[in-house]
Amino acid sequence: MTSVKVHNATRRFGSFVALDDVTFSLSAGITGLLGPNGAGKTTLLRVLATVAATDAGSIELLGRDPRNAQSRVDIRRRLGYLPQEPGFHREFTAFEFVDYVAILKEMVDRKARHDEVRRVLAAVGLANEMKKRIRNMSGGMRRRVGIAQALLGSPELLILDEPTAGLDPEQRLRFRELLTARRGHTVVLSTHQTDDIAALCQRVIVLLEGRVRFDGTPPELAALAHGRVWNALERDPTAQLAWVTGDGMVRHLGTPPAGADAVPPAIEDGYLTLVGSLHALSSAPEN
Amino acid sequence: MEIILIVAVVLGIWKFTTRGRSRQIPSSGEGWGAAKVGAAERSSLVMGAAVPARRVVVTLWSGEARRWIRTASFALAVAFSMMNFFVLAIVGDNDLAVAEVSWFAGWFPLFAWPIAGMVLVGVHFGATRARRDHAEELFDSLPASRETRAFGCVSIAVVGVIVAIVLEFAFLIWLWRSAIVGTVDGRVLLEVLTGISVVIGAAFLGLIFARLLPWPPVPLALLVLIALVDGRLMEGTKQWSKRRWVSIWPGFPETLARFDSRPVTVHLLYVVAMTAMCAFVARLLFQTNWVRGISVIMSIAAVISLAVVQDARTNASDARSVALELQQPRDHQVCRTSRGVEVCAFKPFDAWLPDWNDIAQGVRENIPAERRRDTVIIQQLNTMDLTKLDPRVLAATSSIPDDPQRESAVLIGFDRLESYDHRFAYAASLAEHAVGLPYATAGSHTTCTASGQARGVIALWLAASAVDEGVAKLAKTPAPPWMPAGYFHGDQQQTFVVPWRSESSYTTDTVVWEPVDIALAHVLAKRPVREVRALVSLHWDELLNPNHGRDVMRTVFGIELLQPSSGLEKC
Repeated sequence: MTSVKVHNATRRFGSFVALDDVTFSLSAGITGLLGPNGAGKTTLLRVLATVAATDAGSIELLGRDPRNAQSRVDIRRRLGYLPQEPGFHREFTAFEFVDYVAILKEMVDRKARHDEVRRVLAAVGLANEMKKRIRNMSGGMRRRVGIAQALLGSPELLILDEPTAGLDPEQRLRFRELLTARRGHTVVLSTHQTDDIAALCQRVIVLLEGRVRFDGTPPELAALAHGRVWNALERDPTAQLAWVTGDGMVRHLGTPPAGADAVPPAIEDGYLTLVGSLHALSSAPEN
Repeated sequence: MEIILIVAVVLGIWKFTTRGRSRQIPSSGEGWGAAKVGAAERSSLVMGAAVPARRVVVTLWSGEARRWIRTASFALAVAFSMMNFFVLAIVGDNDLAVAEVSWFAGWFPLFAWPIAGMVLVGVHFGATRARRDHAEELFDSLPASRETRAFGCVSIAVVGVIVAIVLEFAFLIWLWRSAIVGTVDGRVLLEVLTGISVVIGAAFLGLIFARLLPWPPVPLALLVLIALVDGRLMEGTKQWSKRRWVSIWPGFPETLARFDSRPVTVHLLYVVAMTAMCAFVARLLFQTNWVRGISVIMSIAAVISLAVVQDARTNASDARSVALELQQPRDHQVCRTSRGVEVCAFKPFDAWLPDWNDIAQGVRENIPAERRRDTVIIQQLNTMDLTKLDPRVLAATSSIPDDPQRESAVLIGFDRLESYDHRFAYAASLAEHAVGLPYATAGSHTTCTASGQARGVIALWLAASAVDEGVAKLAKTPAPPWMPAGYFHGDQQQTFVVPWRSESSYTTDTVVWEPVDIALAHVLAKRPVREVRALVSLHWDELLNPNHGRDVMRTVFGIELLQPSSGLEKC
C-alpha cells in the first residue's frame, strides 16, 4: 500500500527553489534520500513531516491530504519525525523529554506511556541514562534521544533527517539493526552516509537542486557507475575523481583508459557519477 | 493549626515533585541491544486514536506543575506570600487588633498576588520554552497543537491556586482563632475568590504575552509595569469609582472597612470578567474564528459593563447611609449602661464593651460618690482620616447634622485596649472628664497644660489607679511612662497618647503632662488607695479648682506643685 504520494511538489523560498516539481511515491520499506547540501532534502522531509507546506503540487500521506487541518492531525498521529536539529529542552532528563513528546503524541495513559518511553529509550541504548539531563549528554546521546522520541508508538511513517550524524560506528550499526526491524513500515531517512543507504534501504532517491534526479534501488544507483570505476597504481589525470585507498591503490571514477580493469561500483560511485554528470551538464556551454 | 496546614501542604508538594523519582527503571543492558525486542514487546500503544485536547492538557499538567514547582519563581512566590502571612498574622497582630474581620477581608488577595505574579512568569517561560530551545519544528510534527502545549503550561495555575487557597485559608484559621472581632462572612470568601481569579487571569496574561512578545525579560518587565500602574491607580484617587475600579491590588481599606469597603461582589465579577477576557484573547491568538472573536468581544463588554456598574455602585443612598453612621453613630450602635457608665460601640465591637466598662468603673469608684457626674457616656467613634473616604460620602456628611452627644461623649476609637498604653490613655481620658480637664471627644479642642494644677495630678492618679500596673508604670519618670517614643503611626496620633513637643513631656491627646506632674502623681499612687481616696473625697472641690490647687496639695498631701515650664496655655 502506498504511504506517501508526492506529485509535482514545488516549494520556493523567495527566488530560491527548494523543491522543483518533485514526484514520487513510497510504500512500506526504508527509503534513503541522498543529495548534496542545499539539494532540498530537509525541505522535502519537513513537507513529509507536515511542518512545511508546498507552494504547488499535491501530497498524500497515509492516505490523507496534509493541507486539510484535520487530516494533518490524523497524519501526525501516525507519524514519527526526527528533524535535522531537533532542539531539546536541556533541563529535562532524557525520560522527561521523551515522556513530554509522548504526551504530545496523545499518549495519555500514564503507565502505558511510561512503559513506552522506557521501551524506546532502551531501544536506543539509553536505558541507563534516562535520568541524565540532556544538557549533560554528548551529541551522540542527544541524537539517540531524538531517535527514541521518533520511535514512540511505532509510527506507520517514520521520517529521519540525518539520524546517524554524530553517532560512532558501533552506534550506527546498532541503529541499522534497530531500523531493519521496521521494514514493515514506511521509513524515509536522509543521510550523507552512502554505506547506511547500502546497508538499510530498499530504495534510494537522489535530489539535486530541488529535483528528483534518481529514484531506484541502491544497486541501480551503484550501477550508474558500472564500467566507470577502476583501480590503478598511479593517479590518472583524466579521471573525474581519484583517491588513494587503504591498500595503496588509486581508485578512479570516470571514463577508464583502455586496458584498465574495471571494478564493481559502490553506491557512492553511482551517486558521484550521477552528481558529476549533472554538474557537467549544467556547466556545459549552451550552443 | 494554620502552621500545621501550611507544613502539610509543603510536604505534599515535596512528595508530588519527587513522585516516581525513586522508581527503578528496568535495565535493558548496555548499548543498543534492546533493539532486538520482539514484536510483542514493541509499543504497547496504538498511535492514531484521537484524544481530546483537554485530556492532553490535563496530562501535561502534572509535568508542567512539577517543573514549575522546582523553579526559583515558585519558591519566590511562596516566600513572598508566606512573608505576607507572617507579617499580618504575627508581626501585625498587635497593631491590627483594632480592626474587625471584614477589614481583613480586603487583604486576602495579598496572599494570591505574589503567586499570580510568578504564575505569569512561569506560564510565559513554559509557553516560550520550545521557541527558546529551537524545538518548535519537532513539536509541530506532533498531533497536539501549539495551543494544547501552551494551555498545558497554563495549567500550572492550578498549583498557584492551591497554594493561594491554602495560605488564604491558613489566614482564615488565624483570624478565626485570634481575638479579632467580627464574623467570617461572605465578603471574606468573595475576596478569597478574587485572589484565585487573579492567579488564573495572570496565567492567561502570561500566555498572551508569550504569544506576542516571547522574550525572557518580558514577563518580569510586565510585572513591574503592572505593579507600577496598578499601584498608581490605587493611590491616584480616594474612591472606588473612576479609575480605582480597574485596580486588582488587594483592597487595602484606607479607613476601617465599615466606612471604606470596596464593592466586593462587583469587583470579583470584574476580576472574573478580566480573567475570562484574557483567556479568550489567548485562545484567539492561537486560532481565529467567529466563536472566539465573539467571545473576546463579549468578555470586553462584560469588563466595561462591570466597571460602569462599579462606578455607580456607591450611589447617593449608599453614601448617605455611611454618612449617617459617621455623623449620628448612636443609631447604629449597641449601648450598655452599668453603674453610671454608658458605653456605646458599633457592631461587632460591642464584644469589647465589658473591658471598656471595667476601666471606666475603676476610675469612677475613686471619685467621691456625691461628686460623680451624671451617667458618663463613652462612645466609639471613627477616628480615621475621613478625607480618604469616597467624595460622595464626604459630600453627604455636610448635609447631616452632628449628633450633639457625639461632641460631648468620651471618645474611644477602634481599640481593644490590649496594651497598657492604650488602657492608660483611655483611663486618663475618663479621669480628665471627671476632674474637668479637656478630654478626648469628637469635637475640636486645643491642647493645654495642667502643670501646677492639683486636678492634673488627681487625674493622673485616677487613671493609674484604674489600670493594672498603672502605679508601677507611672513611677518610671522621667522616661515616658506609658509610651516609647515613636511607637504610634502618624495617622493614629489624633487618638492615642503620643510624645508631644519634646521627649520630656507627654500628652493624652488633650492635656500635656510634664515629668513633674507624673512624678507627683506617682507619690500619690504609692500611698494606700483608701487613704488617698478619702483625702480626695474630703477636698474634692478645692483640689479641682484650677486657681487653688497649689495650696491644697501642700496642705492635704504635702506635695509642692511647680508652675508649668512648657509655655502652653493653661487648662
